[in-house]
Amino acid sequence: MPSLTPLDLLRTAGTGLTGRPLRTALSALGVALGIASLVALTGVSASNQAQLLAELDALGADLAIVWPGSGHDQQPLVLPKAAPEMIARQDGVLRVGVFETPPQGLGVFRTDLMPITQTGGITVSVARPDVLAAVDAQVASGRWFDEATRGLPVTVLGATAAQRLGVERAGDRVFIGGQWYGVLGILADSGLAGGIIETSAILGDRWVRERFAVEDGIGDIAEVFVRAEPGRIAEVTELLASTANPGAPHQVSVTRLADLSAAREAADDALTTLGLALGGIALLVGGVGITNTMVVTVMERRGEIGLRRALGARPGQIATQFTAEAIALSALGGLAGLALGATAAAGFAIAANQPIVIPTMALLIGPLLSIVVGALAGLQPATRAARVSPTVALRSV
Amino acid sequence: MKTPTSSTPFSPHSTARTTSPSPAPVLEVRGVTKTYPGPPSLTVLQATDLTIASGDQVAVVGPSGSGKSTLLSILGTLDNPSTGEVLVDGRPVAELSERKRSALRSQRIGFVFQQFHLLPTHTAVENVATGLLYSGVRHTLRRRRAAEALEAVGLSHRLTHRPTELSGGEQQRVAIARALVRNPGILIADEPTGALDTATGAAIVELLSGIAALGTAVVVVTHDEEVASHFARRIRIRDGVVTEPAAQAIRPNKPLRQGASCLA
Repeated sequence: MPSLTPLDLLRTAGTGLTGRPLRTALSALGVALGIASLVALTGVSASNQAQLLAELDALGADLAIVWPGSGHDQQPLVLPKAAPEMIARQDGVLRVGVFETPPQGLGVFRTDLMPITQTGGITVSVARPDVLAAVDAQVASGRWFDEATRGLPVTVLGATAAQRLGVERAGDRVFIGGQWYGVLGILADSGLAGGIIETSAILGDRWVRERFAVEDGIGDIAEVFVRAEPGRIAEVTELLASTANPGAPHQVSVTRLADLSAAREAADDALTTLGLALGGIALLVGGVGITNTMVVTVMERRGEIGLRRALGARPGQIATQFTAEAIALSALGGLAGLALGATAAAGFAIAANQPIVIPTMALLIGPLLSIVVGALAGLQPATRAARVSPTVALRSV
Repeated sequence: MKTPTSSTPFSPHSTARTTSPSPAPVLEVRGVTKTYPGPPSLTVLQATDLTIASGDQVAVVGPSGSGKSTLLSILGTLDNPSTGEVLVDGRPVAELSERKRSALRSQRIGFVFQQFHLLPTHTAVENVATGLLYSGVRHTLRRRRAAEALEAVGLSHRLTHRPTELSGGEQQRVAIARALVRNPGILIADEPTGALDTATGAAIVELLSGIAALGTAVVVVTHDEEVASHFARRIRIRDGVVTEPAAQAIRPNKPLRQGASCLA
């Protein structure tokens, strides 16, 4: 029993599409937009994540932070004084930097004339000299604390803090907690790992311990930044709690910086989900558009269907022809959408100065999805076409 | 390209047909009726018997609404009779599955329609090649045989023209070539001159009756007595009743020439 070769089928299906180019283009547009939004949004999201991972690798991938945990009464516990030294001796740990608990209620101002409510969101941190290396921050202007300056009324400003205060270089002075401080240095934009100190005015630990000795918690450890040897952060993190407080490891919180960024990744996932939903809706609408076109096509081409039946086409071959047309229509849209979406994603990545990433999955699933949509959309019209009686060829005018 | 011999312009690839004095019937109709269920039910074709042999030239003549198209659909296996049976090459069509019936059409029956039914996006040679699409013939061979069939109907100079670039007579010739390209045992033409002017129509009639001389049975349905007068057998149909007068005068037919260019 003769049946059409795939090539014959393609030729026959192509005839229907090339015969009415405008209609073909418009019907394919819906699917094209659907696939384009799918590819573009997954591409943008993937570029975002790639950027994030690159940042993490550059700045914070090997970084973990040890905090004092909270007790059963939600009061912060205290890390043992020896914790930093013990952590520094742990296998796989490269550097350790210690922040101490800052004095409470200190406002940071450009001058003594500023109203105390305008803090500008700048906080006060207290750092030991080892913090700079542990965080891997750079000094843009001036110097970092040393053995002499850690005991003096001077401050090192984070990049954002300096910008908000309007301090452009070291040597200036700012008004902190009712007292003038010299600006010892200004940090460079220190990226993700430096997020905590970006908006801080950092004071020397020895100065704070002497000046604010009467206050609660002064001299206690607030955070220990731990930089692991490359690739060993996972094993280091696992043991940090026990190392910091061997007697009560459950009283220690340990956070990897990579974990902090998981929240941002989750936000990106939400964006992707939204994109997928939008793309899915567009695809659905595109599919309905194709069904609509095919229904009209079948009605218009009853004469041709009758002719083909008279020429010996079986009902199944007629159904296959129209299904193939619907699939070809949809696949055409899918390919156009792929190109459009990839271009959009690449354009976005270039504009945002991010690496261009188009997930392979999107490249594969896009066309595949359009074929499925086409097959589903063509099903009903094709079945109708197969039911057209061959005698219409004799009657239709 | 192989040029067909002048004796068998339409069948360069088929075995020669037997031309015995009493050729076997290609198509037989026994007690066929067609009734459309009502209410009220409508009988459009009364009990009809008909035998068509190879090389027969048959004109079915009747006014519109007489049941011509119904008879034609049944003869062409496009429609089922309500009662009675249709035999093609001695085999009852009713016993065939839809699949086998389609295959039978693709191999044994050629159709020519009043409205030509050419595909507007296809060239002449592609349109004719469509006649072989469902017969399991390879693409290249389809095109070669299509070109030969077009040559036989006198259109070798119009191979790559699209229907809109052809005159009505030329379009009908393309349609005839499409029907003939697969060497059908029977060619069924439904008002083939209905959409053509008189002179062009006459040329088409001449072409069709010439085809019968080559062994293919030709059945032409028409309301036009003038057209019918060119065919040896004239069957009349009126209100669903088919009659065949015994003796008939035949207008002489010129034999079909190869590459006949009798277009107006």
